[in-house]
Amino acid sequence: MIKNLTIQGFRGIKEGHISFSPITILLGSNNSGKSTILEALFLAPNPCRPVPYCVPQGETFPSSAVVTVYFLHKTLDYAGYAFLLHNYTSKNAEIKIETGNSNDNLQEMQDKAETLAVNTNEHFIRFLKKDQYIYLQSSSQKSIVTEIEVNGTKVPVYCQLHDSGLGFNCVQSDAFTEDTLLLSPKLSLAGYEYLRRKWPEIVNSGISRRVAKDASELSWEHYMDFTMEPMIGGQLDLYAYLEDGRRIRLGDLGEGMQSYVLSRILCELRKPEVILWDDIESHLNPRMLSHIADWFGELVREKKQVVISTHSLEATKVIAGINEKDSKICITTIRNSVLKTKSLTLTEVEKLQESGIDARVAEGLML
Amino acid sequence: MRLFFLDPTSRASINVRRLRNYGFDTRRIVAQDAGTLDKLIVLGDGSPEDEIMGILSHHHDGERTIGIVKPETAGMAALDHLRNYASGNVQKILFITDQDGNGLEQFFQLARERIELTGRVQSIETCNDDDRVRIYHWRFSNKSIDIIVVASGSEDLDTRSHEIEDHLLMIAGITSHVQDSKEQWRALDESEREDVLRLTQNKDLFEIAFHQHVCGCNCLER
Repeated sequence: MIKNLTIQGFRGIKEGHISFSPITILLGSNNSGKSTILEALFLAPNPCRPVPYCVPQGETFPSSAVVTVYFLHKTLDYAGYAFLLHNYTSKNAEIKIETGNSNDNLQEMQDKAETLAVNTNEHFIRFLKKDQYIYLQSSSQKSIVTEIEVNGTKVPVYCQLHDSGLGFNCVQSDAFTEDTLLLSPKLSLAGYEYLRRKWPEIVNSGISRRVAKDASELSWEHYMDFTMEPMIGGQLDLYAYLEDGRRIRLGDLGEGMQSYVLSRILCELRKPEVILWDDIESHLNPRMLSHIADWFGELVREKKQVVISTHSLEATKVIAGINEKDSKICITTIRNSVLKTKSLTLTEVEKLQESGIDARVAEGLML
Repeated sequence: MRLFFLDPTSRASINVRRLRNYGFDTRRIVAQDAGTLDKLIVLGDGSPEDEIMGILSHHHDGERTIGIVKPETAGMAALDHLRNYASGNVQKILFITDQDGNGLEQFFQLARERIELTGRVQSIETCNDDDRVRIYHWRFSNKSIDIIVVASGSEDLDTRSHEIEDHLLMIAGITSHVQDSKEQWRALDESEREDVLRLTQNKDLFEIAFHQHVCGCNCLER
């Protein structure tokens, strides 16, 4: 489990630190660092590792984590990777995580913390800017491939990102630490493209049937399976296959169902230790949110971890309420490029609400 | 001063934003960014309080941002939430509520008792400019906060119960035969109530009619 994240010079955060629980809900206003935290966690295992997305303009299949994050920010209209560095000008950025074995619930973790030191492992990824390249350094021994000279010191690196384009040279694409998977409404199309290409594996492993059964709980109709079949025009599309033989195009089932099915299939396929979900409330009605909250509870029982971001108090209450012992609500804000956080329980959020304070905008009062 | 609503979708926030219908520049009144909030306004009662605080902010034009909240519990019970407000950087709180049927001394005694439910009142300061304003130096845990309590209502109006509507009726020129100022205010036509709110754009008139609120606000900003 990822216990702590420390960020230096990464994207909009000059410095910052945050601790995590089995389920961590990042709650805050716009531009408060939530997505940057999720992206840092997504890149932390190794920015060059393949992830289950196929982004447009990506040069490889599947896309790497760093290209996927680039795709999320493509509106920046900038071709290189300098967006990873604080203010585009920082000379280096660091993402450091501490992982621990404990996956106990919050109360047990607090009890243990009082009596003994919990063993943790540190792992970092550094982005080092030199000339027209950004080099990647990792704390993992197996990542050392070559050395570059930075300020007169030899630094071991394993990857060279081109500052002027999306390509990179990397010989180490394994995850160095616990694998993370970022889910985001903005990545839906990239996720579907990945599913299209991996569909035989998804069907043959029984994932499509399992997810269909699960998704049926959210529908009036009973889905037997998901199939990939040609749509008018010949392009392959995803269909829900019903008991009576009818097929419904997934695209016609609504954005919420599409988002949920995609997320479930990607997670079943990839089996990440940590699931990161940006803007979880997008397209999801309260019934779906409750179902997802139950799923998160199952994931935690399987020793997995969930970190989500949301603007929605309703989503926060549902997810933290159903998983109260394992959940932590974290208010985030960025002041002068420094990430500030404050942890709250669901009861504290509700008390603030009774007091006339919406926790999402309370950073000025509490941080 | 500019107001930052700690619940931007609350009824209080909407009421203040609607002041634009009466010619107020609500973009100047409502702050979009909280910054670090060290001063807070807590409202104990209904819609007119929201509007009056918005108008007060308009007349106290300036860049300083002050947080504003209206808790779910009304009247003196709003003071039960003091500990929640004290959790951060807040150093001063302005609390405004109706005097209701209490005598003035009784009102401030009730306020003291309610504040003492959440912490210790170390000392009390009276306001030289208006006897309807008192400052309670309150201590909770390691925090020391000044709680400025303002009693809405006017003795110039001979009613059973004193409320913020007293001030509005006085601007409307209704000063006699008032049994219940709240009911009397509601009984006015919408256009008459709007006319009164428009009249409050006159700073001098506003500062006379809402003298204790202006004094309380001065204490908060000091």
